[in-house]
Amino acid sequence: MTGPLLVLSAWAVAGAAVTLLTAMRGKERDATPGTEAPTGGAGSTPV
Amino acid sequence: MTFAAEVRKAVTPRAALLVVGVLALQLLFIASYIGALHNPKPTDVPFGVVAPQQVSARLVTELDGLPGGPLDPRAVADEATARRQILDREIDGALIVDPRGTRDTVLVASGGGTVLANSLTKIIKQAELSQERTARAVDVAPASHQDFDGLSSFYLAVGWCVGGYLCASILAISAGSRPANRERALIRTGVMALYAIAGGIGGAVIIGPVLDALPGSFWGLSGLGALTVFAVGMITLALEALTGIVGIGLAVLLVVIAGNPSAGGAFPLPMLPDFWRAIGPALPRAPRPGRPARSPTSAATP
Repeated sequence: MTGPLLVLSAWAVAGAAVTLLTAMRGKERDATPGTEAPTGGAGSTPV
Repeated sequence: MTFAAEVRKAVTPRAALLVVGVLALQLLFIASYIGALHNPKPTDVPFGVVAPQQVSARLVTELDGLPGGPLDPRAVADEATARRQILDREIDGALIVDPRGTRDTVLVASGGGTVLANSLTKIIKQAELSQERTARAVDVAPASHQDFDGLSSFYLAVGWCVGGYLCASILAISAGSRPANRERALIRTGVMALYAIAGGIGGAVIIGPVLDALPGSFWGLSGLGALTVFAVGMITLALEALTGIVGIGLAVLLVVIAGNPSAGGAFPLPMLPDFWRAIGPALPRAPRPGRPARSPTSAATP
């Protein structure tokens, strides 16, 4: 069981690291509540 | 504006590409699930042989040469070791030879998949018949009587994976695919962690105390669930941060299309085709928690 737990942990850490590093580059901002989500789709504008 | 003009304005190349991408995901979904699960058969199943030294080597060779190569047999020192290795998932079953008689014992673990346990029993009984011996099956980690075919653990794992993926997707849809700064990224990670803990405990409550479908440690199962939800959620958040809305599709590809069938589903890993056996252990999906650790019970069948 140790192996699968290590695999899951590795994915979790990798995901968190990528999310954090990408955010620190700061190319896009969180939308304020009630505004259109800036998901990169047509018409969406990063806020 | 005419309808044709409206169509030209509405159907952008990007939207068309996204629809084509979703179609590809749909076809991959079908190919992956059917490819993995349409013809399950045991191949190279790790299997222990407990027998006196002079018999053991011959038995291992004979079982290794069975038509279709269903078993990957290896000698094991004694029955206690075989039981421990089964519970630890190092092997999926074991043959315990009685040197003083003609009735041997097959150890299996239906908690890890009833289909595999039944297949191993059938294979060994047929092999034993040709040696004019008989075998009785002993289930060292039986599935709960409320867990038909040992499938509950798979559905629990699917629920955890879907929950992690959906939470990450909804965060991206509601607040943007990429956090604005380090603090927002930490907030999202914190939200995902709290969600994962709630999801892990909730799943364990439903499958344990509520439905009595999976015996074992409640908190151990909760922890496994929380880690599963968190891992799937964080990898989905990362893919969204890297690729925007396309990341949702990539997460589906990784977790749902590749991950779920290679987790075994109705059939444990040793019954899947080589491709899914190879990728399964490396993917972010919950290990089937169906083999209760140190199960105090065992069930024998003639």
